This record gives sequence, C-alpha cells and structure tokens, in this order.
Amino acid sequence: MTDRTDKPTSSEPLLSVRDLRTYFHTDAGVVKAVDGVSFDVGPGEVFGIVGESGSGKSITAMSILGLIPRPPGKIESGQILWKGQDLLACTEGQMRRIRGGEISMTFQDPLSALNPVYTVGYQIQEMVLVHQEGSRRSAWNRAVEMLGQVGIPRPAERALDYPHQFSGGMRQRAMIAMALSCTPQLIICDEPTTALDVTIQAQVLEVIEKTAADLGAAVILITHDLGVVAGMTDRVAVMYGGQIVEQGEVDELFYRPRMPYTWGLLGSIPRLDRPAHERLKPIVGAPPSMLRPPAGCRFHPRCAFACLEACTSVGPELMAVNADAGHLARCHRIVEVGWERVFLEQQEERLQS
Amino acid sequence: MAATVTPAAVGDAGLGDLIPFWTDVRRRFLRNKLAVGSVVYVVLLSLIAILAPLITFYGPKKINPAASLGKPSRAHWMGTDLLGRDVWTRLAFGARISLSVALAVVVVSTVLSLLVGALAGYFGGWWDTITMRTADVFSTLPYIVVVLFFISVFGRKVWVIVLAIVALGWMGSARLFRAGVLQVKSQEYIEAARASGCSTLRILTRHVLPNAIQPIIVSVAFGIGSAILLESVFGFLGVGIAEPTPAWGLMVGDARDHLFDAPHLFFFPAGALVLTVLAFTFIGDGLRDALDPKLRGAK
Amino acid sequence: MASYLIRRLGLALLVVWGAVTIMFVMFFVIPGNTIDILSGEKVVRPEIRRTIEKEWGLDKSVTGQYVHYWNRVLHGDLGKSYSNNRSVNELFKQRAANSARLAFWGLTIEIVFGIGIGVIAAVRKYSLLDVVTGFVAVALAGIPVFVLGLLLQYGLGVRPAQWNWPRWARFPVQGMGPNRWFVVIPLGHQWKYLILPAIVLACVQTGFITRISRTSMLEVLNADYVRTARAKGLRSSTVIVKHALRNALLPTLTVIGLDVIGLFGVAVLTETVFNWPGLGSTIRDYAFAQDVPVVLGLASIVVLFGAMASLLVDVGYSILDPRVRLTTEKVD
Repeated sequence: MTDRTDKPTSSEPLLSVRDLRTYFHTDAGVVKAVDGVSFDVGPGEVFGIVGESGSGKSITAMSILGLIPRPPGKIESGQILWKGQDLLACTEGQMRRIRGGEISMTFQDPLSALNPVYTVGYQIQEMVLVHQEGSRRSAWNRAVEMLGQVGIPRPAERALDYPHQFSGGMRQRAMIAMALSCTPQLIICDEPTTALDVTIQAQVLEVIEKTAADLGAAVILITHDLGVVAGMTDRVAVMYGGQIVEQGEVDELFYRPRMPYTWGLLGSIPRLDRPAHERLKPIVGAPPSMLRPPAGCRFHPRCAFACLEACTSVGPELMAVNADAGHLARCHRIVEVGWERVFLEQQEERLQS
Repeated sequence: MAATVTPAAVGDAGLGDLIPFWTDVRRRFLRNKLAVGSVVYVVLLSLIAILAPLITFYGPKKINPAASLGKPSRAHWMGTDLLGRDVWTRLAFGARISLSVALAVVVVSTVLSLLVGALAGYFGGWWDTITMRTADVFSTLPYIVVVLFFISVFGRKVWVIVLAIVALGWMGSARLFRAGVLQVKSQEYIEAARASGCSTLRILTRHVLPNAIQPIIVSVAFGIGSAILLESVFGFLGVGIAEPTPAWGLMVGDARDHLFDAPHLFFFPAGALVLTVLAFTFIGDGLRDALDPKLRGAK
Repeated sequence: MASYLIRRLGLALLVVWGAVTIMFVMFFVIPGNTIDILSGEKVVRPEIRRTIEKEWGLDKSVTGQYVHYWNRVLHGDLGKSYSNNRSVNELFKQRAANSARLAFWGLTIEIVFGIGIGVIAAVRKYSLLDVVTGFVAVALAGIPVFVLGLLLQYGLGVRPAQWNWPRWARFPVQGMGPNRWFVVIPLGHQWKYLILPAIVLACVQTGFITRISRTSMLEVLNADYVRTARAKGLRSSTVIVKHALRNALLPTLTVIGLDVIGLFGVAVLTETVFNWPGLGSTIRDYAFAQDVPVVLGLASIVVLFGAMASLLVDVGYSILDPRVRLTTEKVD
C-alpha cells in the first residue's frame, strides 16, 4: 500500500464522470456498453477500475477522451466534467488540446498501439510538437529524456528504433513515456500489464507509479487483475455489465466487500498464503450479453446468493455502505443484518477445509 | 481469470447446427434485393436459352442479304446484322453458348481445382510445392497465349474454348481450396477422426469437403460470371468460337464497324453481356455475405 | 537485405523460366498446324514441308529445339513472324513506346482515382459517396473492357459527330493521331486521342483499387495505433494521412505492382478497340493470324516485365515497411 492512501480526497475533483451512458447501435440491436457510470478522480489520486473483459471499463476510458468510434458508438447521456468543464460539450479543437496535453492514455497491446512504420522517438516527438512550443530538436530531446525516465537503456539510440525492435515491456514503457511527455494531469492506463510477462508486470507498474507521482499526475488504472489494483491504487471501482457494482477505498473494498461479484473476484485470485492444494474458485457462467442484459440485478444469473424475488426483477441501486470510506455497493441484500459476515465466514471455511 | 467459459457460449457452426445454419443463410440471401433480382434474371435467361428455337422466328445462321443492317422493327425486334441475320435470334442462341460454356467451365474447373487444391493442402510436401509453383507460373501467362495455343492445336470449337478458360482460371480456386483444407485440417475434429482410424478418403469426403463447401459455392457463382466474360473477350478478339456460331462477344466484335450506321448491333449483345456478368457478380456477393455475415460491418 | 534481394531475383527468374518453358512446350513440342500457316495451304507437298521444317528448325529433336530457342532468346533474338517474316525485335521496338505511354496514363488514372476514391469512401463510410462509388466499382468489374471502350466511342465520338456537336466535344475514336509527345506528355491535340483509351485501360483496375484501398483503409482506421494517434491530440487530417494512409497504401501498391499481366490483358482489348498501335493490338493481330513466334516473343517480354514489376514491389515494400527490413536482416 502506498502512503498516498492517507491523503484526503480533494474537495474539488479533477475529473468527475456523471451518469455516463455509451451505447453501440449495431445490426443486432443496441449494446449498452456503459450504462450509468459515475465516479470522481482527485488530483494526484490513483483510481482503479476492475472488471472482466466486456464490462465496459475500456469504453468508459475512451468515452472520457472522446475516442468512441462513431458510428456505431454514441454517448447517449451524462456528463464528463474535467476541472469543471464538460468534455462532452467541447468542440473537436478543444478536445484535441486536452487529449495528450491534459489527459493522456496508454493502451493494452503496445505493439499494435504504436505505429509500425515510424520510430518510437518520432512518435513521441510528434506528440510533443502538437502540445508544446519549441523546435523539432527540443521535442526530440524531450522524447529521449522521457524514454530515459521510464527506464529504457541508451534512450538516445533506442529512440531511433521501430516499435517491433522493442521488447513487450519496453514498448509499454515507451507508451508510458509518450503519455507523460506533455506533463498531463491525468493518465489513463488501459490494461498496462495484460500483454506482459509476470516478471515485467511489476516493473511497468512501478514505472507508472513513480513517473506519475514525479509529475503529480492522477492515474486511472484499468485492469481485470485485482492484484494490480491492490498494490497501487487509492480507490477502486468494480465494473460489471456496464455498471459500477462496488466502489470504495482500496482497503475497505478488499477487507469488507459487500457485493457477491467482488467476492467472486477476490476468491479467484491465487494467493501464496493459501495451501497449494486449494482450488481457485472461479465465478460460474459467462459475462452477460450487453445486447440483452438480464432483468433485475445483472449479476443474478451467476450469483450464488440471488435468492430474493427482487434479484431477478428489480435492478438494485448503488447504495452507500460506509460513507467514511466512500464505500458503495449495488446489491439488494446488503441491507440484511450480518450480510458482511457471509463473505468472511466463507473465507474462513475455505481456509479451514 | 475471473470466469470460466461454458461450451454453450461458443456458438460455433458445428455439424449439429447445420440445418438452422442453412435456413439462416437462405434468410440472409433473400434479404439482398440485388441478389434475388439477379437470380430472377438468370432464371429468365436460362429459359430463353432453353426455349430459343420456340421463341425465335429465324435460324440463327440464316442469311438474308435483302435485310442487311435493318433497324429494330416489328419483324426483327432487335434489327438485323450485316448479313441480314436476326439479332434477337442470335442473341437467344448466343445465351445457349454463353451459359453452356460457363457451366462447363465451372464444372470442369471446380473438379480440377478441388482435386489439385485439396490434395495439395491435405498431403503437403513436394506435391504441394509442385502444384502451387505451377499455379504461380500459370498466373503469369497472358491469356492470349493460352487461348492461341488451344485454338491453333484444336481449332476454334466450343469445347476448346472451355478448356482454354479452365486453363486460365483453375489457379485461383485451387489456392482457395488448398487454404480451406489447410485450415480445416488443423482443427481438432480432424485429428480426432484420424486418431480413430478413418481412412484418408473418408476424412477428405466426410470431414474436409463439407467444411470447405462455403468457399466453393461462392467461387462457383463468381466463376460463372468471369467465364462468360472471358468467353466474350475471346469472341471479340476473334480468337474464340468461330463464326457463324452466335456468340455474344463475336456479335459485339462485328458491331465495331457499324457503330455509326447500326448502333443496335452493339447495344443489344453488349447489354445482355453486361447484365449477365453483373447478375452473377451480385449473386456471388449475396452468397458470400449470406454465408459469412461477419464480412459485413456493423451499421 | 542484399541476399534477400538476390533470392527474390532468383525466384523471379525461375518464374520467367517456367513460363517461357511452358509456352515453348505448348507451341513447339505439341504438333499444331504450324506448317499449314507457314505454307498458307491446306495440303502441303512433302518436299515443301521438309524445306519449311528445316528453315524453321522444326526438324531438330525437342531438346535441340529447346536449347536453340533459349540460345536465341538469351542473345536477344525473339524470332521472326511466320506470316510476314518480320523480326519480332523490330516489331517490339516500333510498338513498345506507344504501349508504354498509354500504360503510363492508365496507371496514373487508376492510382490517383482508385486510391483517392477508396480513401475518401473509407473515411466517409456509409455516406452517399461511399455507396455510389462502391456500386460503380462493382459495376465496372462486370462491364467487359471492350464494351466500355465501344460505349465511350459511341457516346463521345460517334453521337457528337452525328449531332454536329462543337469540335471540342468530339473525340477521335480510332488510331493514335499526330503521335506528338514529349516523353509521355501529349503535345497539341494528342491528348484527345489519348484520353479515351487511357480511361478504358484504367477503368477495371480503378474499381479494383478503389475497393482494396477502401478495405485496407477501413482496417487501418480501426487499428490501435490510429486510436493512439487520436489520443495524442493530432488533427484528424494528420491522423488520416500520416498514420492511416501510410499503412493502408502497402496492400494497395502490392496489388498494382503484381498485376502487370492483368494490365496487359486489358491493354490488348483497349488497343484493339481504339486501334492504338501498341503491343496489345499487335499481339492480338498476330494471334488472330495464329502467328506463333510473334505472340510468343512479345508475350515473353510481357512475362519478364511482370516478374520485374513484382520484384520492384517487394523492394518498395521493404522500404516502406520497416518490419520487413528487420525480418530480412535477421534472415541474413
């Protein structure tokens, strides 16, 4: 855990997403990829978004930067307030200045996210030239400096290499260098470790954490891997079926989760402190079809605890559980007495068996 | 990973799903107006070809010098050519030539390229190398050389032209079938069939062929169109089927000298040619989209 | 890189050798009616037959003929015509420039319009322009070249003359006219003779290139690195030209370079329709007369050109795409 957990969340959020709905209009029907998502990110904060693939976390990030392909995608409603200004009302020209200059983004697969026909240095230089005054020379120097800062050896030489000449970890570092080259106030990292070897993952996370902290940039870390989130975020939102189903400070969420889906995620993390013969407990079933999401609670077909009538008929609201820790959860059963103990008892049972 | 994938979620078109698959294909094809219209046109054209002697009133080779270069009239709906032959009659009998040449080409070429492609894909090795290199070399031969060879050895007969078109077109579909076989071959159920002791022939006919059938259907539709096109090109250049057989390309070639005084000689056979080739293109497009809806983007 | 090029050159030469050998086998080994063409008679007396066979080397063994044939070709002698005794080399020299000029303009039209329309259609996907050009591209593939040629002749040549349109609106439909050029640039009224055949030569391929460049552009526009470029805050014109087009051009250029044989096939028809005295109409005239040596000699050159063009495409590709450069360096 980092020491930043203790920092109070700033009163004035840097980014505030309000009831965002991003739909895709396809031949088969309307896909509600993001369906009413709200969250705040404060200055310098590290915010995690966790979920399975298809849960809407990447679409949320791309909606913020206005990168949704139109058609078929469309932001139906909601607000994205960036330092108080609604990004959805911005002109294309205003958005261009914000993209890369104030909010930047790194993508999951750094090999396909870097243009194969230009050198790595050129691609960073190009971005610097767009957002900062100065000569091509100084922009190139900035690119080399950033490559050095993210830990690429002999940066002046490697800047002349093409993306395919980099290793997977170095490509992701180069993406991070590019994203941070114009000193943005927020950097969105979409699955920064997914395409990498386990040994490289930790290094890349460290680079993100360190360089972002040096620049004082806030980070939105998008991942399906709770282990990644646990190590470096201040607050976490869990997404399922286009909605946030649980949100709160990282300790609160990990030690006192209320939503059965979060329990499932926590239950499926391999842990060294458990006996080796114990089997991981995957969540049964497949993620919901976003074309025809299940009625009622979107998680109920896979939920072992969906025994209320409301579970299958009424979609639960996101309710406050622990206001001090900003803990919200979306489940009909959280109001039951002793609900939070169900998970702990289960964990104990598993540990004993 | 957070979730296990259940087999039912992976809706692949396995053998058990074949019937709904084809119903689906038919539904998607029928939604394509252009393709359905083209099918209607082709049916009509086939009827004209089959019934040609019944719906025309002159012989296709009957010369009548008195009626040379006649404009379209009540007696001659589409006029007459330089030798006074009835254009409508020649067009109807020409449809016979075009369609039968194309059909013969497609049958021979599909069988040939299936054999070559499937065997190359299935056995691999030197047989694969030889056939595919041969295909490469054949693709570099200009068509005029190939057709010249066939007509100078065998004469300007219908079956000779069929062979020439096959010789020019087998490479593309052979490569296609080879790729299809390679793809199917690498799949697990073929491994399973082999492991359970199925003979090669049985594997090829029972497992590989049914799964490669989709590209075959599409390539047949496009193949008919391009065979008609190529046959007309030969006819136009004067290296195809010989006069006085009524072939559309030949008729357009004759019309070249009469654009000024008898443009109808050009417009009727050229129109028939364009409509027919386009019809088969649209049918091919429709079939491809219906068989593989993934190829079409989301709206 | 160098050894890659040498290997690629070897492959190209192998294809040329294979093609020329197949053509040799076709025409000189399998007995045809060569003698009939040569003598111009249906029934040939034995002594005349022997004289002809001796003169044309047809009395030698197959291998002997084959060696003799290659010996001749490698010394730059493409043979002479059966029908009028003219040397193929001379014919080629006379006609090649005419074909090259026409092909230059045809290629220019197909590259400019094909890629241009394809890219615009991809960027404005599902717009009216996209739908219309898509339909036209399909239709062009279905219209035989000679029908298109005659249609243009009728609409822009014959009809205007019949209706007495002003002179500037009338186009000549036959021949090459004054034959005045500065290298490839038409001088004076030359362009009026050039424009219709050039359009006809380009048309089929233009439709094809439009479709290919649209498809590859659409694919590239969905690529992750284009999204990255937008996320960097670049202008959309910069994103399209610098990041998308550069990558989308690769498959398109390959198609253009690889289809020299196809272009020649179209040129045969175009030059025949317009009586343009190039290689295509020449080869057609001699094919019509079943004059084998001329057709073979000219076709061999075309095959050689085709192989060279695909070699050039490979080299160009490795310059445009750094990934190819690396893999070849690794192999070396």
